[in-house]
Amino acid sequence: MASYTPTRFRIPTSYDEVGLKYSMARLPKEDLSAYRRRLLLEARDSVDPSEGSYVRSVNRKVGLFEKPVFDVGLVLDGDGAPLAADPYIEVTSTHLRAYSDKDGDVVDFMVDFTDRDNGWFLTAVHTALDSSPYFSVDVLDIDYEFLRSDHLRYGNTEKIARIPRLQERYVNDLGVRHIKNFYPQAAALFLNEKDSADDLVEDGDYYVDYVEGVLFSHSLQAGYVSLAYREFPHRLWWQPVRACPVHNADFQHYIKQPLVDEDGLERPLLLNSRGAQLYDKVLEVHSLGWGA
Amino acid sequence: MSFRTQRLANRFPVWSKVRRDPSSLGQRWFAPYASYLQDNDKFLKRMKDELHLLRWALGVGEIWTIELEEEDFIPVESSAGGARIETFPSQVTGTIGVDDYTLERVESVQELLNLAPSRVSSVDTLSGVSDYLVWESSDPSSFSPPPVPSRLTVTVSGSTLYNKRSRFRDRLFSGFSGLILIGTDENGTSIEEVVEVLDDGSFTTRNIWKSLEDVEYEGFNGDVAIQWSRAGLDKHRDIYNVAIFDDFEGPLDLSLRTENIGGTDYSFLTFSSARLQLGSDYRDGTGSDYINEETLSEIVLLDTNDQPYVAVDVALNHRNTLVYVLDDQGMVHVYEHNPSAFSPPSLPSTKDVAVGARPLQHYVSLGKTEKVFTWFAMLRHPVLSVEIKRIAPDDSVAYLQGDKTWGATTYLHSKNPLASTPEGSWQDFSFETEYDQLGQWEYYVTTLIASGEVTTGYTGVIVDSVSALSDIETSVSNATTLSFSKEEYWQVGDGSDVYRFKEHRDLYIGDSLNQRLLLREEYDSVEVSY
Repeated sequence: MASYTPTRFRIPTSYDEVGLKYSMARLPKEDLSAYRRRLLLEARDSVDPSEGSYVRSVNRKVGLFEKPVFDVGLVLDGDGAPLAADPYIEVTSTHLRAYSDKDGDVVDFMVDFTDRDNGWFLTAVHTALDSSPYFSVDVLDIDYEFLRSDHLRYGNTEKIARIPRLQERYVNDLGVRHIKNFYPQAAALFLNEKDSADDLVEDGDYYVDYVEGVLFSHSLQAGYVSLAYREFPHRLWWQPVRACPVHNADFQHYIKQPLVDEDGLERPLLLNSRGAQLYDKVLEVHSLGWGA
Repeated sequence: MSFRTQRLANRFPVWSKVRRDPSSLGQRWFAPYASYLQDNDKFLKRMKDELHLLRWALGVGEIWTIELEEEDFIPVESSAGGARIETFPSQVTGTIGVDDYTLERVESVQELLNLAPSRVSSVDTLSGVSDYLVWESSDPSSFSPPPVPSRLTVTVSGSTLYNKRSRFRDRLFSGFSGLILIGTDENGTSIEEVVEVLDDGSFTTRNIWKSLEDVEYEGFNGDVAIQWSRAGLDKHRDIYNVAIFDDFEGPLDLSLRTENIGGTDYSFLTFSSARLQLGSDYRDGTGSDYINEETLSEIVLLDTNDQPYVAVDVALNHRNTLVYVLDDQGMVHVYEHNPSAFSPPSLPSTKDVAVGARPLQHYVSLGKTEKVFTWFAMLRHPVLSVEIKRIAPDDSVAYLQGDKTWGATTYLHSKNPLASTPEGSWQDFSFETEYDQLGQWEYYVTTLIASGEVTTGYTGVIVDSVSALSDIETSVSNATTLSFSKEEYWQVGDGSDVYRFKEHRDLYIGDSLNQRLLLREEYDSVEVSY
């Protein structure tokens, strides 16, 4: 009579068949409930060849899940308009920057994820958001405090939308708020932008309520519209595995030491120990990555 | 017997005994085939759902295996006739920590995966969960997120009006009657789900919700409550079975009822369906709705020792299609729920029957007093006398007396003395029986007709009960609710916390070709002995 240690024996299920369609095989030791969750995520937010999609999809490929940590909103004045002139938030490779006026390049606050004293954990991000006069914050995951802030999902609040077809009427709800730019297809219908809906007196006059996302016009509206808008409330996600670009200024400053170039300016040019370690790993798996 | 037996019988005319009487020879003969059909139907229903990512049953994704060493190989011999004879281990013991579990051998993968559980292990406890409410129409601005991502159950109740486009006063009605739920799934992705509501009841979403953010509904005027489990519902829809009566079929609803009979509390599992009357306007705003629930049968719930208990909640497991019942002591009983099949009668009956017996119902609840009617079938033969005999489940025999009470001595009901025609020779009447025993009650009507021929008609009534396949202790005192999570964990609530358990069954299959054992559960170690 011998003693045996059982080994796992995976039974093929229909989820595996669905997984084949999404090129997402069940991982070793992954239970069906977690696998179904991954497949659902892939079904509802399929991968496409864009930077944003790559950033969002990296975790599901390895069986991990992002979690929402904060919803960032805007502080409004008495009329319901944001206090910030052009609110904008970006999470870069190494920083979270909150602009009260992006056009004017006015930064409200900045959190440096590499700062071990004040930025290393999400507590710092929460404190900064909470104390901002322009932004409000709702906590979505109460266990956020000691999650590392450099695992926040890379991205920003600038979004693009396309309204496939305006209803044939004088007022249309564009479906998004905090509009930044408005690009109508039927340009002849939208010739003269006015400051108020009361100023529409002839064909071609139009008014856009940029805060509420409502389009008024003197003529009946038609065609499609492209919009750039600021997405608020903006959800910040925490990623167990983080994907972010390395060829940007923030990251270059993080992984390189400054040297004085031929113009006498300090530029990040020499790999520091962090950079060397990183590129060593890159070259280990991808030798053609040389030249960074 | 299965629910489908009556469907086969319904191919016969309404007046035929095979259709009207589940105790008839015909229905007893159909029963095995119907049972096969029912299993097949369940299988097809599951297969149809199989490639749906949000299918109801999660299923089993893995089992465990041990490769036997030579000393433990399963001996294989051939009989003189060439049959393969395998000698399986006399004992297989799995150990988890300090606990040993003896494994039971099964022969098929289907049994390995789907047999009723025999034990549970604790997964976690959701503390401070006093109810399952997520949203209700009386407080529409308040949303309580589920403590764990779950399917939502929408209950619509108290409606007196459902809009109909065909009704003139509802001519502006969109035609959609139901709810639109908006929120996020377990990944935080925004989702919407449409729940069509054609009548009051409970409806479960396919999606798994992390949060519910908005609810829109129209088409009815009842109250809406949305909760994150199916716990504590009045009725459960069994989507794998159908309620089949001798004149209609409908969706099968399961519900619980408890009654004190003779000083003992009995809990019943009720099979019912909704019957809508032809020509009646239902929930039309007049407030004069009729009760349209028709009961197929009520079965007494017994534990594995055939003892009654007080049931407090019921849940349907989509993986094995078994019914799980929680009792007031925190124990869960697992059932395969079907109407019981009638056994062959104790006494013979004749092919021709001059006077027979027709019970009002062939499936009667314990403790009920129900009527049985005589039925003069052969009108052309004058009746001389009739004896009505009853055999109770405990084999006690009683005869219907002249005053319609039951006595131990035989009694002959005589013909109508004033009759001038054969059809007037017997006047049908009804009599009553108090069904105070579980099991099959038999009625024999023996008739002497003028030709000297004696006929005996038989019919049966079952006071139905079902014994549990397993009883499993959860150790949750004051447990009040039972449901299944999206991971198919049990969720047992006591009004302040929800305790979650994973079910187990210690089984193995012996694979003599590959000299290995396939195990249903994971163990730290396994020992095999012959």
